[in-house]
Amino acid sequence: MTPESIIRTHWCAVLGVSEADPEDRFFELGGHSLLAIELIQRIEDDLGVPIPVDPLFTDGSLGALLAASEEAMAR
Amino acid sequence: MKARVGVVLSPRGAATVRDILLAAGEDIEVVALLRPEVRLGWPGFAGLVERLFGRLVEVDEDHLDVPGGPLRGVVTFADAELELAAAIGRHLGVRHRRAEPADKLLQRRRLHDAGLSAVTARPLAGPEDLSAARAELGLPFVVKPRRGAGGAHVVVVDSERRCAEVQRSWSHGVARYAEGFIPTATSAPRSWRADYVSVEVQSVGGHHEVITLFGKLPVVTREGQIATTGDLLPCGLSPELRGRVEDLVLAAHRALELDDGVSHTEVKLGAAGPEVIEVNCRVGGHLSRLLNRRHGFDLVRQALLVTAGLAPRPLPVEAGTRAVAGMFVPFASVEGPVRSRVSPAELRAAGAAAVDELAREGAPRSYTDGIACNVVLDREDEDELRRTAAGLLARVGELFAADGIGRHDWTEDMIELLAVGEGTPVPGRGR
Repeated sequence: MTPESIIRTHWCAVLGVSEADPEDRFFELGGHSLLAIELIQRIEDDLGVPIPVDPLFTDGSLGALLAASEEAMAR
Repeated sequence: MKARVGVVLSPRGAATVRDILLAAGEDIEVVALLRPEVRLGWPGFAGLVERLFGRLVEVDEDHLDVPGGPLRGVVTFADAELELAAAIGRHLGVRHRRAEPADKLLQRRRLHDAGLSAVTARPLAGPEDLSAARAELGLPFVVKPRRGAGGAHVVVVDSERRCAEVQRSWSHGVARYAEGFIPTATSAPRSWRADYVSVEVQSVGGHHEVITLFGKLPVVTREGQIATTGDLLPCGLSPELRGRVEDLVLAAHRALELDDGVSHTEVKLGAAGPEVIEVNCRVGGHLSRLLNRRHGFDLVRQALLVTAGLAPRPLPVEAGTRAVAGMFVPFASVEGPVRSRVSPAELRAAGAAAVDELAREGAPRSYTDGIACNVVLDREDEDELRRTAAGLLARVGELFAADGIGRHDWTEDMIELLAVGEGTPVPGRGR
């Protein structure tokens, strides 16, 4: 699986949704802070790099999370 | 350099850690303060706090020091931590809000003595005091916790049978008191709007100002316990009544001598005029999201700014017809597991602008405090809000049918109350 598909899979699993659009906002789809950290930790476990939490908590969109993860992997 | 503000955190606070993170902005550094037992009891929450704020400092009544640079002030968004936040602030000699005014029995007595309330109250040391309360206050009367909010542990005692039930089920972990019941105006017809509002007030240097008022959806009573069900902007009061409510609440703040901060006061629109239900000495829960959405104003940030001694933001100005609501749809019972599987997308398709909480299939209903879903509605005007709310509730009834929502319950009642005129079909319900 590509990093993006891993992130999308975990996003859907944590939120209990079947689809994930980059414009979707985590905290408007039933997500809360503890679930957000669970999501980050799942992604970190699979990708093997620390993911900054700020983009998910401040922007909240899947797009922001994807961008932050891509940047983290590139470092 | 950022202004450092100590925030005593709790997993049961009126502001989430995300709310606090966003509210801090670029000019406030939140110093996360947590009791050791909270860190041990909620390791996931403690881990989240460390991840978001960099570190957390363990505090309790015997450990009031906060390492690092000086704090500008200490605040909390959790009722249960008001004393600790005050103790830390006092110990460090920095801005804080005293906790004594948060005692509801003290509030009742001070407001009564100041001529601001006709409601009398008496302490309840135990169930043995209920008979005396009944004799003094008459029926109905209300048993309430001296601390806490949101309707938790509030029981209206309206019969001898209910009085006996409360005596039998008395638990000694919560300090309680009894007060007289505030009747609603008998001429008021049943409405989709509740007979009470809340007033958010900012206090700086003894000067109190109203930030805004929220209307409310009617409460639900389950197994004798009252639970709140939603908040509305705008509040829906006439200018005259709004003025009276504001004057009363500001007078109450002066009588209680509230220190710097933001508070949340509930006011009943009683038969004899507005009556303060209670003053909560912290930001109201679930309200900042609505005020932010409608006015771009963040209550949590305002509380941090005031605590830090920074210039508070200009207060929101009431204008426009846009109507927003936060709605907590209740299960008929808090007991048992959730039987329905519902997705946020289904609620968004039914008109929810945001889904803030959603009960999951198989989880205990108590995990979400007996709430099936906590959603935000955002429409151009009140009429559209009512139509959308009615349609959304009808759909919630379908989605949560396995849990009995929409059958002889609050949801069914609300759909009828929200109906816009006779003969107008409610979206999602065939007529």
